[in-house]
Amino acid sequence: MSRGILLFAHNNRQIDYGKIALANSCLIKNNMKNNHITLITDTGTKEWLSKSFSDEVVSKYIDNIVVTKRRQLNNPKRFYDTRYTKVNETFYNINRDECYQLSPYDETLVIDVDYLICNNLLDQCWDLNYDLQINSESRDLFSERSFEEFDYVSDQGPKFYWATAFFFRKNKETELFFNLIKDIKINWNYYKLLYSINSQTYRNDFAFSIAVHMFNGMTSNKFIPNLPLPFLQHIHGIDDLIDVPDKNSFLFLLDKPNEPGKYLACKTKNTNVHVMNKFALNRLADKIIEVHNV
Amino acid sequence: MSKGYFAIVQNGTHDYVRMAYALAMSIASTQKGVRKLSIAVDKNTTIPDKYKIMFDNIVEIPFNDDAELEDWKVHNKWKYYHMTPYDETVILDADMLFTNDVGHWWNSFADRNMTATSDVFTYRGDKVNDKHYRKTFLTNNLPNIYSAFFHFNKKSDLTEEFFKLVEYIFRNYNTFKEDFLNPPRQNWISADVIYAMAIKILDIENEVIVKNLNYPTFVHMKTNVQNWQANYSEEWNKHIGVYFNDNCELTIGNFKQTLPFHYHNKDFLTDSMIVKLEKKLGI
Repeated sequence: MSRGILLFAHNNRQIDYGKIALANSCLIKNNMKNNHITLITDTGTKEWLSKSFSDEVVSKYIDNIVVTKRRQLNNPKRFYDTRYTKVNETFYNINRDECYQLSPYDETLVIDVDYLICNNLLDQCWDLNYDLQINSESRDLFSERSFEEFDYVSDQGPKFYWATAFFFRKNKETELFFNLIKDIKINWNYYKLLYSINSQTYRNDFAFSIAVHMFNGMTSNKFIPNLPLPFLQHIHGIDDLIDVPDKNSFLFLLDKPNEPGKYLACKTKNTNVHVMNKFALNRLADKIIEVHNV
Repeated sequence: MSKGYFAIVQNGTHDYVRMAYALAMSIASTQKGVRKLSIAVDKNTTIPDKYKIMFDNIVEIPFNDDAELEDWKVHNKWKYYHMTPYDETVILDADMLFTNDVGHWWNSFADRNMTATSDVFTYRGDKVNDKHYRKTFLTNNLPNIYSAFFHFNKKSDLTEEFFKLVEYIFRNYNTFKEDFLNPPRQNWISADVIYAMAIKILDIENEVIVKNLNYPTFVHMKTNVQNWQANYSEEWNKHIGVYFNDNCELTIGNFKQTLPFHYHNKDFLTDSMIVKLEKKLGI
């Protein structure tokens, strides 16, 4: 059985997802045992990556590059760079429904490029006898803070599941699951209405949450289990990533809930963190590569 | 050992007989093992002939009607022990529907004196954390039990002792309230509070509540425990879709219901639901 990790990167005008993918690939190669990496990208992103980094560096960390067409989308998303800056930009990375077809592996761990891998916990997913694994819980690094938007997809809707990281083993059931995701994406206006989702942006998380709910027989059964982590961890777009002091270590500034715009410094070590401030990640991606490219 | 469900049915501002009829039909259409529902009514209650076939026994509430002058008729809820025709009984509220077979729950009741529901769920399957309606429970550290699905074995001495105390508290609630409850205390009588007080006084919480199983339980459709952010009224069915298909499967919003469903809001039960249940049972 072939095993590997799938990353997606489609640059927009402001965020170099290709570079962030390369940075996370460095982390994955440093930390995980099953670390064969395939990057799903588009021509523009691939060319920009080749211009920015030598073939030697790219091929050292990314084993396989699959080029797909980046479709022109009307899918604006608000990107935060701390509380002080927000930018509306097109979000192209919505093709998770194609995982099943695009993955060259029998067993695939899909990781968002902004979920920085600093330990080997996810290596256990290949040993579990579950063909689909995805988490519904992600905890804020600032433990006193929580955002209701991450509990449910809507006020009366199903639990929010994070498409940030998930595992699937190819079989008829998982093929059906991804076909369902595709159906939800194609008919997004219908599903958005059906599940009372107010957001204008199509999010992979929403589509996965709805699909998991349907796979669970329209109940909250745990038919689809967690990855071998009880929860993911994240920082919000209003937080900042400011340094990579050493290997597998990050320095963050976390927005204080009681004093918005003021920050608490926080250092993580050997902890996987989903960094929702893409601009900060864009700024620090070179440093991540520099620290981990040894 | 005879087994069955039992509900007190007294019409006040709402037609509880009709609700009990729907409950009985939902039990008959979903349960493979224990399928009997008996009801207790006051002497003024008339039960249509069509409804009667669904009830195993119809008994008259004994020892006079303690709820005669009340709008919210809960005052006879100490009499279950004296009214039930079964050795093993599960007390139900009339405003409930069964959506799935819960026969295996009865297996867990075997050899137990009493089994109280202590965790209930939202329509989405989340465990209810009730800080809104259960202030008396929280302030007084009362066991978080619900009498709307409560099992007891009539042959047990402990059960007899428990219901004696429950009777005593019902009859002397004002005294017990002052002596045993710290504010905020409920001024109105509630079976849940009184049962919880009796369990606490007898120190039988561990005896009555099953900690290692997630049943018995039910879906508790009170608006303020559904984890909704919006400020909806208690008429929850005005704010979310209710779908009851021809096979009598119940879906609330986008969630199929699989547990006993305690709907509370009496407008929930439509004539169309009753017709569908009747059709399913060939009535």
